[in-house]
Amino acid sequence: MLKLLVPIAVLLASVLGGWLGLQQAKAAVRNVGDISSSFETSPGQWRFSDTVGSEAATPMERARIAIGGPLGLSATETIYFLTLEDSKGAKFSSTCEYQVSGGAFDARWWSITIYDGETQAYIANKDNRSSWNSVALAREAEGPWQFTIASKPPASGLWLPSQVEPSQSFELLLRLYNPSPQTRAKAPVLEMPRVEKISC
Amino acid sequence: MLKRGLILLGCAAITGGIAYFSAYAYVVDKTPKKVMTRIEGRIAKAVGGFNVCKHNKTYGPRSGSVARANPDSIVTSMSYDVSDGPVELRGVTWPDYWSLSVYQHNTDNIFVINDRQLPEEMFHVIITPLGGAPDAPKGAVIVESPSLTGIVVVRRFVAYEDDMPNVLLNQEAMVCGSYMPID
Repeated sequence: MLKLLVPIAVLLASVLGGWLGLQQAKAAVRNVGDISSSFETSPGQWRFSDTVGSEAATPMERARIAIGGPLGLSATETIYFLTLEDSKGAKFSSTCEYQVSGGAFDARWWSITIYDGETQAYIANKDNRSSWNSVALAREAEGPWQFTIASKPPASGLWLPSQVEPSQSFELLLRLYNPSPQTRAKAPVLEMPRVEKISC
Repeated sequence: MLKRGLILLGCAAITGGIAYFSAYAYVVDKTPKKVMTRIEGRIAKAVGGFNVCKHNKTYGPRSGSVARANPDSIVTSMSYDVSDGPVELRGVTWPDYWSLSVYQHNTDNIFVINDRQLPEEMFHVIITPLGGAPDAPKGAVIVESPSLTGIVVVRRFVAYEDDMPNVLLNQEAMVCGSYMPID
């Protein structure tokens, strides 16, 4: 009797174990919002990564980044910061308006881009704007800069459009291309942009 | 009887555990390659095959881009396949910021060079299979790809939409394809 039960039990356990492993791995990898879990916590609400595109990335980091942001540059060329939350730690919502402010980074080129929190795609808008970069911000203001994230244009100042539909999540990605050696050495402890909620 | 039952349970648990971890590792390992196969196929389909450059000619964000694409970068991309020999990209860099990066089939960024790292405005990059590097012509950079296929991305940061005509000229001046050594 036992001779018959052993192979059946082993077969069933293999099938069940394999199926569970497949489902668990798919769930872990496909949760693209979890790309942020591949980013290290840094001061403020910004999270930092130097494993994008890196040969030193773990298999799970590589899988999550492949789905959530493929073809990123390695840390020798670019530093990435990501945030899903305002300066007080509340998740971004298209129902609210935010003011983003900061200063210039010691990098050759930098930009802040907004993406839909679910799809990580650009948010469609009539201005066809998804980012502000170092050249455009310097053109608009000398020294410190600021812009508003909202679903409608603000009465004055620069605008980065969020979703028209309320209660949609979004995220901000800060890219520093060719940061100076000093900036690279200090990262992730840098003077990061503040993202403050103005109203909801 | 109890002992035999425990042995049975133990065998099943060990087998189930091995199957679980094997399946988990398989999915995690295959996912980046699956994503790259899809992107390589999409680029190749748009331009009629591998080793042909695809130029983005639109300023600003575009629908249908990969997740978290950079709207400030006017990109040229190429799916490469070095199974029949080396592949080359030649052209002129772009002043604000230019870089050429190579991604092997598991998504690793195996090579990147920017305009400030080049001695002149011209660039010549030859991608070869591992151990298959030809004698490099003067000024050329050889990149040995651990995988036979992968993707090349050329990034140009364009601050003003008025710069687009010059970007298009820069793209037209690029040469992408199989490497033909000059005798």
